[in-house]
Amino acid sequence: MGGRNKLLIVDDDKAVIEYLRAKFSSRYDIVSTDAAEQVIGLARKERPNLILCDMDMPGMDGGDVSKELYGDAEVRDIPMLFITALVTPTDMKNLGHQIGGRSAISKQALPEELAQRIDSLIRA
Amino acid sequence: MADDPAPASPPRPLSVLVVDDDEYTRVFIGRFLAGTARIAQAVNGREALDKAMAEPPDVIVMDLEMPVMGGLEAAAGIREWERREGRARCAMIALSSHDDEAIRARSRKAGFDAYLAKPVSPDELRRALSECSVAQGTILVDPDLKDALPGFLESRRAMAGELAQAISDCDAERVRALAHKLAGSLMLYGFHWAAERSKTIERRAGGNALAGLAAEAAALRRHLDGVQVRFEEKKGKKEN
Repeated sequence: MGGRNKLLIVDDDKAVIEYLRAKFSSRYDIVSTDAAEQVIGLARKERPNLILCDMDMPGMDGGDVSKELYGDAEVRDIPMLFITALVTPTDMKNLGHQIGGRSAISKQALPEELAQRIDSLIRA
Repeated sequence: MADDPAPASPPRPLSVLVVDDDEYTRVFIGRFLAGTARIAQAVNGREALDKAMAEPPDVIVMDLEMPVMGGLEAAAGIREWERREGRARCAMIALSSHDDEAIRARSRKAGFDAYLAKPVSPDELRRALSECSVAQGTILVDPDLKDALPGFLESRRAMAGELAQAISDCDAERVRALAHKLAGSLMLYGFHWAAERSKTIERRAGGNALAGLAAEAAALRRHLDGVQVRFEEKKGKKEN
């Protein structure tokens, strides 16, 4: 609809979700949750173009979310991008911009860089 | 205004004096700061000294090696003038193509607050500016975050309180988790000093080394309680 892509943002810290909304809501439609257990349900319902997911979350972490998504044929093909404060941009570069086989970006990356990664993953 | 819990001075743009005999560096820094700061330029230390005394800037970004007068001499002169005149201390960032401890030490002695080795990336410059703002007691915040900021600061202050409690409970995992959350979010919102402090706490809690962390947490809390913010000027063309 109108060519705008939709992001599903997953982070247990509401402040991070607010930040991402403030920076990107003029560019993407955004749905979000701070409860990782809701991701599959939301992904099925909202059909986002990309899932932007924190890694270090209590209970169900980013790796668990990734596994669940991959195990669900309906949402398996939705691209996922980990966003994490655990890794600096330099270390992320050394990791080939991937963690656990998924694309990843440091929370320290600039907003423009994050938007570029999002767009290129959606296009791929 | 949504500024009450986060005392903010009027959104006056930061004034920055860029001093370098190399035009490329002046243009690069000028372009990087365009729209977010009021920029003046000087091509050597003598001119910087004159301009800083005529119209004291918030920040001076200055090369060390220049003809007529170098950055070290100019920085010392500016600090001396500030002292003599009872002026507020501006933040000074040194730029140099040399990167060794001896020159860093000389720049600190001359009065610089931060040191960047050339070539400087926009990220490094942004961080140095932000850290200098902390030294001045003011954080520069992205104007897109204006609405979110009061709630953000309130929640971080509460979190810093929980952190202090978790330290006194010797609950290393809770300390690590809270410090991790603080570090990531404070970094995003531009509170680099507080983010670094939180990262240190996170690292040490991860290694179960809680001794001495109460003082770190108290410093973090004091900082968040007293921090002043200033919103960067909105750029004409927004990237998002």
